[in-house]
Amino acid sequence: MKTLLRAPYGIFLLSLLFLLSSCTIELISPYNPPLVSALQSLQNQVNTILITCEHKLGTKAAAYENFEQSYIDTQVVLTDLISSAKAIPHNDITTKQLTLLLDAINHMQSLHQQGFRSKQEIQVLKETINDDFTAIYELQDIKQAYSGGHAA
Amino acid sequence: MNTVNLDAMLQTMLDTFVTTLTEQGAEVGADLRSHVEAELKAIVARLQVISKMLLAKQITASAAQTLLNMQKDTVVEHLLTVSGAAQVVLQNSLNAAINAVKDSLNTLLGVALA
Repeated sequence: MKTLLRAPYGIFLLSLLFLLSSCTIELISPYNPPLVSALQSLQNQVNTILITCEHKLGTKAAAYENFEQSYIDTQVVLTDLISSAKAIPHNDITTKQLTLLLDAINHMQSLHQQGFRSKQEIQVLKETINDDFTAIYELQDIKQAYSGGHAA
Repeated sequence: MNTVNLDAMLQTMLDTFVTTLTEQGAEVGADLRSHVEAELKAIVARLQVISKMLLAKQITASAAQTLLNMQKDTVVEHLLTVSGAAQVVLQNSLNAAINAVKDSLNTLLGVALA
């Protein structure tokens, strides 16, 4: 099986293999449990706003003013998560996903400011935002399942 | 002089890469397919609901536009997940190939490389 290593190119190639064998390639950041945990809490906050509005639709209790602080809190947490995500190498995809989630919450805020008109509208909003969360969890689950469970 | 079969070593590296890419790609692909299909169906259903609400004047044109933009962003969220999953598989395949070379070199040297 073994052949003599004669040519200079062989020495070069072997050196390259030695060099290569000492490294691990990272194309994407590992599973991030603190992010998942923070997102679960954020999702709970967002659903609380939407479900409360769904139940109290048409009353003053569903007015935007009653939820203004909840929106600010949610946006602050998400902005912090985006900053932390940006600091992690090879984490562009998760950073983009979190930025899209922030856009979705800003859209939800704008719709709430205009006033929700029907339960169906809130239902569509709720499904859409929960889908956004699911997409982020799904990628984290794949990282956990297929990257040997290494956590960030 | 100790001898090395570089061709065999490179072939092992390539074989390991292709095997891992194929096997894990199929596994992750199957996991993702059912999930993404269900999500896309849900998005299509929501687009229909938004159109109906607009026609029934249950929402304003501006609100409908916002909801439509949100659906587009949700599709992008799922595409990012698929792209991330592909990167995980590629990363694992490259590292498996590197580990295969490492094993061959360890055998050749009789010592374990870190």
